[in-house]
This record gives sequence, C-alpha cells and structure tokens, in this order.
Amino acid sequence: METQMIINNFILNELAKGRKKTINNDEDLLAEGIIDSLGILQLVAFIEEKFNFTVPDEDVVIENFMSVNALSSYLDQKLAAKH
Amino acid sequence: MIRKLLLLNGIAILFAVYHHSIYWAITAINFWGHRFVSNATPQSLFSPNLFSIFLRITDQIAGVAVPAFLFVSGFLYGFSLNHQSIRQSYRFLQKRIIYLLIPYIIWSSITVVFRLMEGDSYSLTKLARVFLLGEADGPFYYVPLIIQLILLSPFLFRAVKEFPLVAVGIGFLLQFLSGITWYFKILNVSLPQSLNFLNLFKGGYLLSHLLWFIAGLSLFIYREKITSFLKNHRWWILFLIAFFVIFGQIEFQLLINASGNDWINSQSSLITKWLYSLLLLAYVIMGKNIFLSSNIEVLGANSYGIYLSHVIVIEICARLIYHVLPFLLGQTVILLGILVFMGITIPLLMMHLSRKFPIKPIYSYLWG
Repeated sequence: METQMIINNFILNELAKGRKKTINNDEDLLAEGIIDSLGILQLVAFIEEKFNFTVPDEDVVIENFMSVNALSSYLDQKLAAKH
Repeated sequence: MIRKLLLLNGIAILFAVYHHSIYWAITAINFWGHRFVSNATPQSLFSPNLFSIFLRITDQIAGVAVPAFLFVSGFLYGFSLNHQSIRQSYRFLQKRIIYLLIPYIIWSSITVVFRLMEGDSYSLTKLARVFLLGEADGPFYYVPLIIQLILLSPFLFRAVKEFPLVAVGIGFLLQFLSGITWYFKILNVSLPQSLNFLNLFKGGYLLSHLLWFIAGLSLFIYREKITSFLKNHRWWILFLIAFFVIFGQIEFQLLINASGNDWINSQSSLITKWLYSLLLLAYVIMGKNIFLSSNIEVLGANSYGIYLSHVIVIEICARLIYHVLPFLLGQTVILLGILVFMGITIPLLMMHLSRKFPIKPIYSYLWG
C-alpha cells in the first residue's frame, strides 16, 4: 500500500507534468500518455535511489511498468526477496 | 544499462548546447573582432592553430548529440512497443507525437517572431518549411525526424526483431548513400550521370539518421548478445574511435581547402557519422559512474525542453554580450562557458517556474 502511494505520488508530481490531476493505480501509464518513454528511465532512477536496490535490465519490461499497481507489486516482491 | 541511457540523454543535451554555442564563438572570432580589438577586420583573428583544432575536435564529438537522442529513443520505443497490442502501441505513439508536436510548434513560432523582430521576412513557402521540415532554426529538424521515426517504429521494431542484421545493414547502406551526396554538395560538384540515382538519397534527415534509431531498437531486443560482442571487441572500438577522430580532422581540412569555406559542419561527413556510431557502441560498454552523473541525469530527463529553447537563449546571451560586455567576445573559452551555462540553466529555470505557476496544466504542451 505504501509502495503504491510512493510510486503514485512520484509519477503524479514529477512525471505526469500536469497531464493528469489524479492517477488511477490501474491506468496504463504509457498508453494514456501519463508518462513518456523517458519517464520509464526516471522511474528506474527513482526506484533505485528511493528503495536502494538496482533494477536489473531484464526486469525493465512493459509488464512491470505498465501501471502503478504492476510496478508496486513488482517492487514489493523484490523488496520482500531482499529482506 | 537502463540508467546509463538517462545519463546519455543528459550528456547529449550538454553536447547539443555546446555545439550550438560554438557557432557564436566562431561568429565572435570571425566577425565581431571590431568589438574587442581596435583594428580587427573580419576573419583576421581566425587561422588554424591549436585552439581552433581543439574547437573542431570538440565540435565534431559534440555532434553525437542527435545520434545519441535517436539511439536512446530507439531503445525506449523498443521497450514501449514490446508485448503491446497494435491498438495500445498506436495509442501510446499518438500521445507521444502530441507532446512532441505542440511544444515544437510553440517554440518554432517563438523563433519566427524573434526573427521577424530582427528584420527577417517569411513567405508562405518559407513558413511551411519552418513547421513541416523544422527550419525555424538549425536544431529543429530533429522533431520532424523523430516523429517520422516514431510513426515507422512499429514496423521497424518488427523488422529488427525478425531480421536484425538486414535492418542494421539497410540503415547503414542508406546512411552511406545519403552521405556520399553530401560530399558533392559541399564541394559544389554536380553528380556524374552514372551516379544520378544518388539523388534519391539526397536531402532530408530520415535516411541518414535511421541507423541510430535501429541501433537503439536492436540494443533493446538483443541487449545481452550485443553487449558481450562489444566487450569482446572493445579495443578495436577504441582504436577505430581514435582513427576516425584523426581522420575526421584531416578530412575536415581537406574539404575546407577544396571548398573554400571557413568552416564545415562536419556532422554530415561519413567519417564523422561512423565515429558517432562507434562512440555510441563504446558508451554501451562503458562504466556508469561519471562525474556529476545524477545532475546530468536531471538534464537528460528535461532534454526535450532544453533542446527546443536553448538556441534562442544562447543567441540572446551572445547578442547581449556583444553590446554590454564586448571584451568577453575575445575570450573564447569564457564565452563558450557562459553560453553553455546559460543555454542549460535558463531553459531549466523556465521549466521549473512553469511547474510552480498556474500554467502547470499546460507544462507538457510547452516543454514536452
């Protein structure tokens, strides 16, 4: 839940750039134009710094970055495995 | 690799600003000498010396900016189109084009107004070229180019996935054929009858730049294979980079002598284009820790807004220096430093302010 909120806030405040006022956690981030492809790189940079782990290249796939829900469940899984 | 692409985008925008600042440094040396040396005549201060060679080499390397943008874009469009339905892909591409096109139209219009204030005039044909071909100012060609590549990207993605070597080969061949026509143009020589077919490859940027977008797509799809191949051949890549830098300078001087020009935009030379491809390949296998990398990543994230607005900012700064601080015109290193600094920070400041004020909802239409 907390991961979802962190991701949602970052996307809304830093990446959506006024394109949306709120983001539904299930919304398709790319297809809806909420973030652009460069936004994916910024998301990876943010995750690595905020959650202190390196996102492996092979994990940067559309399935993990499609929506806030997809990204937070990927992160929760990774963080649980780390601890 | 992924974060290195954000960094590469940041390095590319720094290079783009540097490349366009050099234009004003050369203008200052060549044509504004009377503002800082009492008896200077045009071009009296410009002669081949160590510093002008330094400018040439750094300018040649800085020209890698647009190939780097295309390379990063190719990779990211590969990511965005992978496992997407055709409907989702086109929906995404449509949104991307809107956020590229509207800021481009706004900044092209601002540039046209600026030029009108300087006394330029625009016919309808010229205006059409400004918006359709990106002729508002030098760097604007990039936007129509990337939009064409975005429109082609679903097709290119499939082509690279099915026939990677053929796709790269075609990209290379098209670049080679369009590159040959540039030599005839710069030397002011007509194409011989037997080479008339090359006219098909003349003009436009799509054919000469397609290779770098394809290279980015290929890197996304075949990341591991490409990286390991490049690591095994890294010394060859470094050797070829050194060779093409040196050979590029020799070519530059030969073309200057043969054409009678003072300066040539070497980005269009085939040698330089091959150098750019090698630099991008070298970057793929380079370490990711470079000085100020997190700051450069910030530039990378804001590169489109900086790209669209920096040219006009640099020009205003150069003209202000001409009128207010003319002694700086003769201090090329300081002048370049000021122009690069302003060309980066003023757009960033404008972007920052746009986020703070009530115009935030239109931020993406201004800066992408």
